[in-house]
Parts: sequence; C-alpha cells; structure tokens
Amino acid sequence: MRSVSVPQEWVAQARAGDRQAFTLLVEAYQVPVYNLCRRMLGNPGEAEDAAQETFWRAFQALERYDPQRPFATWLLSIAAHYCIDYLRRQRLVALSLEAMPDYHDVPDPAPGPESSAEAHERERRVASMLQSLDPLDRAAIVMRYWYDLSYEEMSEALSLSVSAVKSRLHRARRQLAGVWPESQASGLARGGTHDAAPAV
Amino acid sequence: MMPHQPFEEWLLAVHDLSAAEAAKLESHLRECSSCRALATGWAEAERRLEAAPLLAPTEGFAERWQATLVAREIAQRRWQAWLVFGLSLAGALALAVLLGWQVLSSLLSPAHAAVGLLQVMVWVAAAVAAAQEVGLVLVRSLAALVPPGLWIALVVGAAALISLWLITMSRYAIQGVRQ
Repeated sequence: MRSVSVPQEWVAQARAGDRQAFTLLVEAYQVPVYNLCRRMLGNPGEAEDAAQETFWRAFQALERYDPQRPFATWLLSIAAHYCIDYLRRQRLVALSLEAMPDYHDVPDPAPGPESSAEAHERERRVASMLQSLDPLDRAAIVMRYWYDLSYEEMSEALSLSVSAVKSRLHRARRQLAGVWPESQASGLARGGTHDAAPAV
Repeated sequence: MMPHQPFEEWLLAVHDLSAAEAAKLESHLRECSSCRALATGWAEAERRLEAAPLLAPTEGFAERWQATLVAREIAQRRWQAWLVFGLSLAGALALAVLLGWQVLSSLLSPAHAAVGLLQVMVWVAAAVAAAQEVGLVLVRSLAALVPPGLWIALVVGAAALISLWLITMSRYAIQGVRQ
C-alpha cells in the first residue's frame, strides 16, 4: 500500500485506555479503513458509517488485540468482516449502475472539469467491476490491490486458509477479466470512450 | 476444441511463471482467441485496479468519530441502566407474585397457613437450639485444648485487625468527602 505506520506507543497507550491516543490512530488509519469500506460497499454514506463502526468495534475490542499482529491488518480485518456481513444482510451484491453514487471525494491531483469527469468515470468503472464480485472475493481483491497484503495476512484478516485466499483471488480475477469488456461496453453505451470522459 | 488449461490458470496466476511456462503461454495465446480475450480483459482490469487511488473520507472524520464515541457511550450507559432497572423490576415482580400467592393461599385457607407457619417456626427454633449445642461443645473442647496465652494473642490480633480496618475505612471515607 499505500501503507500507514504509526508509533507503537499510540497503540499501547490506546490499549491502556488513552482516548486521545485512539483518536490519533483514527486520524492515521481513517483513509485505509474508509477506502476498504468504500470499495466494498460502493457508497460514500454507507462507507462512512462502516468506517465509524469499524473504529467503534476496534475501540471496544482493544483488550483482545494481539500486539504481535500488525495493527493495520487487525483494523482492516474488522472493517472487511463488517462490510461482508453488511452486504450479506443488505443483499447489495448487484448494485445498479444507475444507483451508483457521485464520486465527489475522488482525490484528483490536477482538478479541472475534464480530469474530474475522467476520474469520476474511472472510479465508476472500478466500482462497477468490484460490485460484480462476491463480497469475500471483493475483500480479497481490495486487500491485494490497495493494501498489498500477503496471502498469510489476507488469510488471517479474512479468516480463510491461504489456499482458500488464492482460490478466491483466482476466481475473482477470472470474473474481473470477463467483466471488464462488459463494463467498457457499458461505458461506451453511456456515451463515453474507453479512456476519455463522457460528454458532460 | 483447443484445451485452455493450464493456460487460463497461468494467465491469472498468483505466482510468477517460469521461462518455459511463459513461452508456452505466449505460443498458446497466438493461436487461442478465447485465452487472448481473457488475457486482455484481465490485463486491463488489473491496470485499472492498480491505478485506482485510496479514497478518503470527507473532512472531519476524526471529529465525527469523537462525537460518535460520546453518543455511543451515553447510549451504552443508558442501556446498562435500563438493563439493571429491568432486572430489578423483574425480580421485584417475581417476589411480589410469590408473596401474593402465599398471601392469597393463606386468605383462602387460614388454618392451613397457620399450621404451615407454626411448623416452620418450630423447625427454625430446633435448628437454632441444635447449632447452639454444637457451638458450646466446640468452644468447651477448644478452651481445654488451646493454652490461655494463645487465646490472649488471638484476641489481641483480632482487635488490631479490626482497628486497622476501621482506620482505613475512615480515611477513605474522609478522602471521598474531600474529593
């Protein structure tokens, strides 16, 4: 990733009951946690709620956190499990493209109407690709491509065996390879081109 | 029909291919349009995934977290208070029902209730008398066994412990009031 490293004392202080230290951890990990929730759920409002819930659950479970494990992986594991359960409850696996939210908070290094629309379109396509996956496969893909987690870390975070992680990644890749041309065709049908933003 | 395995497997491989595998795959891709489409599709999808940035929440996430934390803790405390209240109420209701049933049955059959009460009182009195008897026997046999010096030491030790406890409690009580 795209990784975040924080002083180990913050984690120790938070475990000892220091709320200020935990707030520092929230500040440090808000982007990775929010990004995972956003990639999993596809909706900014739901992602915000899921990220807040993740930190609340982590805050309550701090005593059970094993300091031998990386704190970031532990947090991502809580977020992934929450999102998977949420998706299973809500049955949002097939999210309509028409219902896709506006990507108003896409980081854009050179903001301008054209680049912003382009980024929006890119995000829409990535989101629609991810939405086509089973929640657990999606979590594996997100952890692999946004956080560079090893198979062992992913297996720990997703409570799967290493071979199950590999098999899920393989299945997800197979599906994404098939979905990409469809997503491209859908983009063209909406008036866009493969790399250019649609007419605004 | 052209076999797609192990080429499909290699295309989506989670490990690096050997030089021989890569050469075989390249040769297969030249002939197989289905695997070529898979390779193109996956390459494009992977490129998009790798280029996608980390999305950040809107400004003030940590402040919203702090507000959420306070609200949730209040809600949790309130829920705990309601739980304690509910359990106490349930206990009180259970007691009231039990007592009410006793009263009702004694009102319906006063003679039966009086006999039952008398039986209980007799049983309690007999138990107390038996306990007294056992206690006296124990004290007498202990008094004969333990030398008087040890008795004095035990009494003094117990008195010292009680004094220490009283001093500690009074200090804590005073500190608590001051705070």
